[in-house]
Amino acid sequence: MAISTIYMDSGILKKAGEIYSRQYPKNIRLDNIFQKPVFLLLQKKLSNSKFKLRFHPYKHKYFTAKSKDMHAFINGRYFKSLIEKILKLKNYKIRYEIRKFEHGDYTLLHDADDKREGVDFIIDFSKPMKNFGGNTVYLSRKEELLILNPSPNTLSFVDRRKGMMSYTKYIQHRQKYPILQAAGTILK
Amino acid sequence: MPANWISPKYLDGTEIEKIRKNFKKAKPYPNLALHGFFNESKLLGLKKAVLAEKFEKQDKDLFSFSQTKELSRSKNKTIREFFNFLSSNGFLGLMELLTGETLENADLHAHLYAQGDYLLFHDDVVGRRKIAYITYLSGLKPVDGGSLRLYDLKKPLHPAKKITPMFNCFACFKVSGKSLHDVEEIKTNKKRLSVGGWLNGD
Repeated sequence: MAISTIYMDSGILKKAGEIYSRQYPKNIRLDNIFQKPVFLLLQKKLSNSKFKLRFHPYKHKYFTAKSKDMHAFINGRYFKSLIEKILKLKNYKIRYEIRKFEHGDYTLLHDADDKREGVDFIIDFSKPMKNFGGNTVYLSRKEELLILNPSPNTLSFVDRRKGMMSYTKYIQHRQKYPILQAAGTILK
Repeated sequence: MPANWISPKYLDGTEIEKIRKNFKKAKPYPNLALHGFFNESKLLGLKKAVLAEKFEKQDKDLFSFSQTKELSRSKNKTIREFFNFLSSNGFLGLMELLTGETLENADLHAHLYAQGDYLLFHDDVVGRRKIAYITYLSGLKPVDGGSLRLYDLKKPLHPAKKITPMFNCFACFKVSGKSLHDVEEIKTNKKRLSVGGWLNGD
């Protein structure tokens, strides 16, 4: 699955790495990560996946699915190149899931209790949408640090250090379309 | 005294015994919803006073709504009178009769839910809370959302009981590890105004 050609350019990736490193927390969002026809095809395939409910009232409510296409991408050379050149990581493991949030879905901070430190990533296959929930919120014990709003065809990296937690904001009834993401953590 | 604030029908011995039995056997855990519980003109006065208080937006992983500060510190005479009533031996004694719990004091906030606001699953178990209580100061229809939903911990996908807000409805439930509940998202431009909190004891 080919990413946009600009993200194959070493100069661009070096610049992206510099931007990532000077934020607090370290983070970057890459727009138009896939070439448009590839994005639309993946979006359609993922939307048609067979989803299962993951529900624990005190932790989370959303749906998950498996995807051979995403498995191939996340374990493939393009994603590896982004990790190595932007995050400067060599030895790592990746944990991820395909997840869908519909009206009434959410995750709570309790869900992050046992999460290991690492670089979180979200590859977003949602449709364009208004701000009616589904935001990924990062916070420390003292303050809110970063909010990632759902945005189609983006790849976000966030360096989640010790003491940082995240949750996905409850999806309101006014959110027309489901939020569809491949989300996980790159464990250093 | 209870007679000043509470409707006389809820002070009748036979009625109290009936409510006590209903509370105990209610599903999915002890709860009750009493319509027309308060003296209506006094509650309208309270509503007017509460609306003059400052509400601050609270937006966390678990909830989105607007809330006042602890109303025991309000300078408003009507609100203080209502809080003193909730803290009185007369009211706490009545609630002890109805719930079988030993109660010492009350706390009180006002909440305002607007479109898109909600409160997700939790059980209220914190400190010395024994009874969670709420009095609705506005009425909603089921289509508006805003219901208090009580769940059986073993079947949390669908509520076992829904209490749709109605003006002058007093609802309460026993706080325990089983008291899983939420407040349904407000789906229209209606507002859900309430006062409530917890009755505490050892």
